[in-house]
Amino acid sequence: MRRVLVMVGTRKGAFFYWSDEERREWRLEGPLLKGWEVGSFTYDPRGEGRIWAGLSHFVYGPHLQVSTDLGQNWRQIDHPPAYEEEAGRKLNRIWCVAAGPESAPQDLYVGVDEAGLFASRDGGETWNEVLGLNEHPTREEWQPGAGGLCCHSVIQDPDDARRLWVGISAVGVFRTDDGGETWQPRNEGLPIVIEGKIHKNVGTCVHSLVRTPDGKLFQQNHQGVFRSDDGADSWQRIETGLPSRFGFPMVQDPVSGDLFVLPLESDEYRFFSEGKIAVYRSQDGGGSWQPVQAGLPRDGVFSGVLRHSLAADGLAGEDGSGGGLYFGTTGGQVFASRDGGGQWQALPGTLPRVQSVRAVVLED
Amino acid sequence: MATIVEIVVDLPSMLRPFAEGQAEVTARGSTLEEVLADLFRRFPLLRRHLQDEAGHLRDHVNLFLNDQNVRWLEGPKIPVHLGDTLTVLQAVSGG
Repeated sequence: MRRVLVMVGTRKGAFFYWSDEERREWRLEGPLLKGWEVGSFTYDPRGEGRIWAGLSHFVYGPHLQVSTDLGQNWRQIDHPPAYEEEAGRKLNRIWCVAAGPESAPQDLYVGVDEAGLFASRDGGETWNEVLGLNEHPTREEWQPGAGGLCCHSVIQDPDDARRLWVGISAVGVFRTDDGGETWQPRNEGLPIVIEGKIHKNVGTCVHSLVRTPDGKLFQQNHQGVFRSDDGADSWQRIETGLPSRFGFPMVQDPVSGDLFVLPLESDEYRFFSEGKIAVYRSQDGGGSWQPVQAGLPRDGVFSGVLRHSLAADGLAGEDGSGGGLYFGTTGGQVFASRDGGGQWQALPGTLPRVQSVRAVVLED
Repeated sequence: MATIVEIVVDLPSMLRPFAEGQAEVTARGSTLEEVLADLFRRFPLLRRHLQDEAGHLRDHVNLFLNDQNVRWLEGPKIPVHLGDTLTVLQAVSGG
């Protein structure tokens, strides 16, 4: 017997949706972590299975909490990521928590604003700066995007414990091949929108990063959608069929291998064009995109979907062609598909502004 | 010689989980600075929610010693007296 948990982080707390593997009926639980802005959720299945929440508040600052009992109880980390006072930087928000490699079950990473990466080697109890990135020579010309100067994405290469990628808004993609000691910008082929006087290889606004099991990388960028076939050494546009280049999240359905994006009207407005929710799917690795919007409101929805608010559960639907997909809007609506995007349904409730969505399949 | 007293500290609901769920706790000292130090010693998780990395009171946190906003008072070595109450409030702002 399996259960499906969809964790929704909002501006004012967390909400959990529960269902069985049929995913037809959903129960809403929450608010959990009431009042806290939940920018990121991660489920780390290694060991006992833990849920990590990156939290912040405009009054009380950022911090990290963890649950080992599926959200019933939470514990604040006593020694969370923190910049030294002499670094001259402020840690404004925790943007993402990522698990390290399978070979190092105690390793975790956190991406933050002001942009930086922290690593833990003891299961998240203590953290150290990854100075190779945080003190990168190009940093002198890093500039923030509308969402801040944020390291919002961290991807561990499952096939190489020493390789990771990060995405930093308005700066670009970096990769390490030596476990974080050194990092190189990996933005060849991406539009540079904030060109530095000295450093010409940073200044592109990556919104979300995805790595697929075949080793390809994909990104939704401020100015387009891209694929890399060589570990981010170079990027190519993959936008045929998309109504807009602008959007935030991207996800791959592990069941079908299909990719999904949610185009918004433009960076001037940042909501769905004409108030019609738009979901686009590619079944050929980004070669072409088609709308998959059956069951979604197609009128009066002038909201958007933020970069962490699209997720897949990896559980095949009844006909096996696609898995569960979920997204939450800035208007507080959450939608689900149990067949890889073929049909969508609204989940119950209207939540605060949705900032993150993650889905987990649990074996009972 | 300054007298060390124990005063009441009122906490907003969002910070009570970091004080063992209590809305009202006590802390000891002869000055506000000492009271805060004692408060953070007793409840270490509160520190990062009231102070930034440099140890300054967070911009949108207000501390009221009785009915006085401590930002209007002269420095952290404000004397405290038996019967005083320190109230932690978030500033009226945001949405």
